[in-house]
Amino acid sequence: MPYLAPEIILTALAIVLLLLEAYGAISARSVGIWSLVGIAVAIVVTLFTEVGAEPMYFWTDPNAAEGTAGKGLYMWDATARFYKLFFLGTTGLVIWMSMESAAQPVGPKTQPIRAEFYILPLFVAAGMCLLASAADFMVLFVSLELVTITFYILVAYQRESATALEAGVKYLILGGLATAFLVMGIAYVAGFAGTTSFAGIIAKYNTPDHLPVAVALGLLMILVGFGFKIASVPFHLWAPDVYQGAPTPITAFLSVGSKAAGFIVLVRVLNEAFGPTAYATWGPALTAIAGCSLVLGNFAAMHQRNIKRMLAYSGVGHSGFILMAVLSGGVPDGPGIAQAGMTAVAVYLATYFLASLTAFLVITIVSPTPEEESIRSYNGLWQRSPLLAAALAASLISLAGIPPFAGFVGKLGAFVVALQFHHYGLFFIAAISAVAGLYYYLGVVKAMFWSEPLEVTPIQVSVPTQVLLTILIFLLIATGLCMEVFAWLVR
Amino acid sequence: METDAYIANYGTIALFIGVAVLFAVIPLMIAAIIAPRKPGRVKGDTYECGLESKGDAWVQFHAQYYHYALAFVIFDVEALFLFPWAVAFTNLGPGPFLAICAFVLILAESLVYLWLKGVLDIK
Amino acid sequence: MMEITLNHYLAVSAVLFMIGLAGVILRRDILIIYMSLEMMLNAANLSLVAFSRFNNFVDAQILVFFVITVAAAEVAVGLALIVALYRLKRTSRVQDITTLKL
Repeated sequence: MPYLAPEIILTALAIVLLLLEAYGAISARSVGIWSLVGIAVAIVVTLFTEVGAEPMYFWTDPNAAEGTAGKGLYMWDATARFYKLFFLGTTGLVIWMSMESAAQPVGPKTQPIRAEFYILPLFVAAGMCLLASAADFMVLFVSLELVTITFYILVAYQRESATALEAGVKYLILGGLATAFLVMGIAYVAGFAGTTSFAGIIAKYNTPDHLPVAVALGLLMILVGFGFKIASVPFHLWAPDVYQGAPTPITAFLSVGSKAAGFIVLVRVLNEAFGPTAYATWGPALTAIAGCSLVLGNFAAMHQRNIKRMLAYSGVGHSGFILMAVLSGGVPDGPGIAQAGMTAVAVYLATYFLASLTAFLVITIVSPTPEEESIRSYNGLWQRSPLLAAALAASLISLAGIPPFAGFVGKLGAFVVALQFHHYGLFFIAAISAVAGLYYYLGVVKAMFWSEPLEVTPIQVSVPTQVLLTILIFLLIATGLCMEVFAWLVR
Repeated sequence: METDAYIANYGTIALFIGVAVLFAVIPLMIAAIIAPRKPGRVKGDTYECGLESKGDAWVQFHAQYYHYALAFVIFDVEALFLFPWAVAFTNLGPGPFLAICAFVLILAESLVYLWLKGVLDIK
Repeated sequence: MMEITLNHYLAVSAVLFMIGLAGVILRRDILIIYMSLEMMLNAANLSLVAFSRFNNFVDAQILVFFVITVAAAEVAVGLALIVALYRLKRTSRVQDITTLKL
């Protein structure tokens, strides 16, 4: 079945690679290359799988009475395809980054990268692809945990280093807390609705009345679980420490993949499992979360001296911008989230994907050890490697949302949605936060071009990575100039 | 009343519980009241007599035991899926059979992986 | 005799959940925090089983299977991490391991 192909390809490949590697038949580097090949195959298969006008459902319940029960466990539509491509692309770039950092000399406390470091992201990717198609809380829960538990291992991969272990344990405890809230929320929502399927739940609760109190409570608890994944205030406490302690490729994976996974399940649940009447429950909660994330993320990022911590806080701010686009529900008889909102979320994530992954690719190369992660190490990067400096500048300017770079399109979409749905207060906060964002992003850019470098040794970049960086810079500008690309992608 | 007689049966049990608790508590209280108190380092030890206690309660086990225990936790829980399947086996078609085969194969794969990585041999 | 209804089970489950949450927030030993987390998951399991029993909702029990499995996987990974941290730092108390700047 082509619809489940990416998940099956990735899982099968990961299992085979694990065995081959354990048997000693294959080197770590070739495991990395095979992983990239597997992801490329999965991307091609996903790209060429037909998308119908109506969502398709699989594993439907044969015993369910007509019209009462769920449509199935797994769904396939344009949204699922877009996010699957997104996750596969993220994983591919992350594995590329891991191979790049494996090529660098190891520090005293860092272990050389072993084959598992390329195989575990394949499981994460399979879980994320499954998430994009989840149409039932059971599938949602299992695939979300597949992603989260694998991340526990990846974050604490450098287990000789105290900071990495500390980051891993923090992620573990707070992640476990989020899981507990999620399960309790699912228990209330599914228990009172009498079904775990999204379609069954919306059939029961899409009435003009408000949600029953217990179900509303369950929905809010589910939002706590998702709020952790997207690193929004007040569930962001893990983000700075974990981003700093984790290996840089995994930081990139968390920052882009994990965040997008949180958003796809968020919009799926709000759209497929709850109708417009639920907006009275989640609307105010998400508005508050979005406002706090915008302010705290952007203003805390100003004071950071470690570039990964800075990007962690700025990522919290970006969650706020994306939540602004999510807040487009509550239209009577409309969908849970308006089509405009869905598109704005997808476009923002796509621009964030390009900019953030480019930035982390540069960080992987420039800062191989934790000591070199301070922002001062980026002083005068232009003199050491013009290509790296240009790539980092393009990605940071894009994250700041300055035209003609891609990030501008994403921010524009989020702001338009906020105006369309009358979130004027949030719009105002977001505008101020965006200006605050300019300060710290452009501060780094200024240091790269106009400060004296701490050391003058040029940085060597391998030829394939040079090509990749050039393509990424091109995409950052091209997609910013030609917005139709995103319209095509989302369709 | 039948219920009264029924509840009266519990009265005996309650009496037993009460006596049992008193039996344990009274000597302890007497000891607490009349015993002399001489707190000290040796008194505070886990065992007052016998071998001198030393070291931490966090004893170092060999790391291999942890690997074994962690692997056990996983395989133990997987039985959860096999039992319902086995109970319903006669009513199921070929689809669930293939599914459970894939499931067991993946489990077997992880066992082989542990074996190859040397987790299963205790030195 | 008092009839035991769904609400009683839900109340017990909510109490368990809150005790677990309090344990996570108040306790300072990572192992105890981890046990509290497991208690929160089991509180949710209790709710699900109660829903399944009283509302004739079999899917809830299947969900409980998955929750138990996921919890086991989480324990395997989590304990491995905590043991590794203990070996490195000789402590399992929260305040001793915060070297990352908050």
